[in-house]
Amino acid sequence: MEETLAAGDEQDRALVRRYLAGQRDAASGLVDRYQKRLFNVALRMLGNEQDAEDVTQTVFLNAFLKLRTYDPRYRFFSWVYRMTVNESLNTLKRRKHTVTLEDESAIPAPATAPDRTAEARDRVGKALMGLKPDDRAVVVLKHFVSFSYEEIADVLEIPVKTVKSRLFTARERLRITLRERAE
Amino acid sequence: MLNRDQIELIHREIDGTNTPEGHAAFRSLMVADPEARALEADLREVTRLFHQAGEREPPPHLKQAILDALPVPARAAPRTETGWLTPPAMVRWFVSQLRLVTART
Repeated sequence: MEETLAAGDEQDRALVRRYLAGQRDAASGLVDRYQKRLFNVALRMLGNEQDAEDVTQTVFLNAFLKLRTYDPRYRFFSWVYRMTVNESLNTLKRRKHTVTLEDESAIPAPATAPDRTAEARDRVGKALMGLKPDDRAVVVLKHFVSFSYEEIADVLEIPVKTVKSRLFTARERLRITLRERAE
Repeated sequence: MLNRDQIELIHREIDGTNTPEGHAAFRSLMVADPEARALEADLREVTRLFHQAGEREPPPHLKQAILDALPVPARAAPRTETGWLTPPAMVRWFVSQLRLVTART
């Protein structure tokens, strides 16, 4: 059963408190809770597994280093997702070269993935990389993290109206791209 | 040709965020406009592909790499006023100095 948002928030706060109290195993709990989700956000933003791994590691390190300044009135997950998106955007800027649409296809799909899943990953990955990074972030948070418009606005620190505008425009672009590739 | 409001209505329906009035307007639009039906089908296909793509497992070594690089929480090693004079602290200092000297030579 999926945990409720409030229960998840409370679990995060408890782990943060324990880590700050010197209990190192709390770090393991936070990594367990978020590494898969943050890695997938970075992977969809960057289209490259190695870069996604680097970003995930950097985000966790920065998060733990800054944990004492983290304001518990705000949601922990918004904070770490924001850092992941920002670090991914910074990585894209640092690349200094255009991301090719073939990047995602260079990622070997797990051997256990059914063919249709692998094909969907390939198509989605290529189409996502054709979006502007800011638009891609909205799509990734909506469709791969299942955030509401309001949560996306909170993470990206933009108005809800902008979230909707970017999402609708990006999805329209994806629709056209995916249809063209299917033909 | 669909107008901006009609396109947004379809997007909101896909996201499940239409009000009851919006949902009713969406149903009417679906009945009346084949272009709207085509757009809705296309957008549902996009979201289906996202769902099918699913999540990837992070590399198995990632968690340990993160934990290995973490700083020790400050309260894990309570500092005393003479903490830097404790035997472990002095050993660490000597080792660091030795490394510096070795690196220079």
